[in-house]
Amino acid sequence: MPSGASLFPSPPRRRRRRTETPQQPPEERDWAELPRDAVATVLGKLPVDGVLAGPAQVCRSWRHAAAEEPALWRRVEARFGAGLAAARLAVWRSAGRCEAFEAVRVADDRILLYLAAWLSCLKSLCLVSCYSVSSEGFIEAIQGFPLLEKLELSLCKNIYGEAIEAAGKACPHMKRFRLSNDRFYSFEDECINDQEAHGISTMRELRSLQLFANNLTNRGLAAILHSCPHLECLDIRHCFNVELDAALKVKCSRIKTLRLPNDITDDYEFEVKSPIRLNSKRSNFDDDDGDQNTYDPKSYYGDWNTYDPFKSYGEWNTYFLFRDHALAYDPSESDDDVLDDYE
Amino acid sequence: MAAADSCDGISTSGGGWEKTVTLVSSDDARFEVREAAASLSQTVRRMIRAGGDGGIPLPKVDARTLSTVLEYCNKHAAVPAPAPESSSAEAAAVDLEWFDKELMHVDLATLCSLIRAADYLEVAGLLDLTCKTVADMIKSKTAEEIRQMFGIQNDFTPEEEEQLSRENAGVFE
Repeated sequence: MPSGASLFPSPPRRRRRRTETPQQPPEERDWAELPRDAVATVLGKLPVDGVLAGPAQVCRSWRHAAAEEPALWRRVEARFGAGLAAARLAVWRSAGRCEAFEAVRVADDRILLYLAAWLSCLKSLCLVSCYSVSSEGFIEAIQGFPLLEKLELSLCKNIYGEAIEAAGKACPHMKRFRLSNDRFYSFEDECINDQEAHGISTMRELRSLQLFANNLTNRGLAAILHSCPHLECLDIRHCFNVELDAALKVKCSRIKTLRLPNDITDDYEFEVKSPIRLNSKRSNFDDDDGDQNTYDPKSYYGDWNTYDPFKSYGEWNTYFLFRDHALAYDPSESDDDVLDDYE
Repeated sequence: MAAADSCDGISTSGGGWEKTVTLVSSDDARFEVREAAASLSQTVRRMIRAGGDGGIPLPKVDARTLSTVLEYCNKHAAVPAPAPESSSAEAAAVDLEWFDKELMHVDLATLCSLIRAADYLEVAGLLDLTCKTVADMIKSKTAEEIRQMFGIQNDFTPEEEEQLSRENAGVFE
């Protein structure tokens, strides 16, 4: 950046520049003085972190245009390493106008607490494969988003249980909630299995719910259906603890879009892994539904889908998860082994 | 069109095929345009409603730029509405896309004039097209690269510069 240029106030500098290079067409100058709406329209077509690093630092009028374009600030995305610093800057510069934040593989507890401090008006929060966010960090941060209407926690293996209960309590306006895993895993204790469902049942305004490969049971599902009268869209694929009986079928009849545990998963944008059951009652979940490990290349998350979380963090997370429950588990075992015969 | 009936004095020719209006550029060139095409400009549409003598003056747009804007308007207003999802609708959409792409093969000075004209005349589709073109050009470029590309002067004060470099270093708390 030519810092020397800025030592002079702008009008004399412009005049001097034009006399130095008289052959330059007058249109050159015009780019700096385009109507602010037009510059804002240009910048509104770029991702906000890209704008901050470049276009917003071109000149004063472009910077003002960037600051005033609401569309630019409404949504901040953070993806992998470098994206996080840019996203923090975007959040800071958005001066509370950011309504949607999306992080893929980058967020940790610190950034989440940072968001909570700055963005009390946040309406949509989406965390995908954010293994560094812990339940404890999430529980503290979620208190800062009382207006949240949409929450996605996909493949965030360290946000579970009471974190979901905390989200239910902290966000009374929640309309869309997505809690997606890649692998169904069931505990023997029904209370643990239904802890998340219990949290969800406090989201009374819920319209749409996706619980993929969750361990909720019939009781948890019944609680959700009972407590969320506006629920229109329910996806419980790979939730193999649910066995839809006549009573549940009646309760589900008002749901407009319903996806059941054994429904096909081709349109699920993450990898689907073989379910794991640790108790001995080998039940009727369908091991041959033929769509395990389905991976949709057209997915919204593009290249990141090819990343297999179990190959790095995921393996360890699973290890700790199992260890917590005093079960010996060898993480070096193949991911695709079904452990339902484990005693 | 009911609005056009009330515009006395503007050279509209009601008989024959379609009504036309006359637009006058900053350098006094006169363009006779179908009203349907000219009405893609909200500014012109308002002036047609207001009425007036001797054509609609557009003092902020020169003849060269106006002719390009009108080329866009004529093309986009010409498309009759065929049954949606028919093959002809698809072909028309492809044709329009191709036309837009070709129209944006211009030098930077022309592009700048077009953005100004689209903004002043309020031709939403053209403003969107030109801004998208610029956005694609500056995507992933640094501030200095953009300044050089468009010949923009760095007019930040030293204090502002310092703030920018602090921001770039991630110090913003």
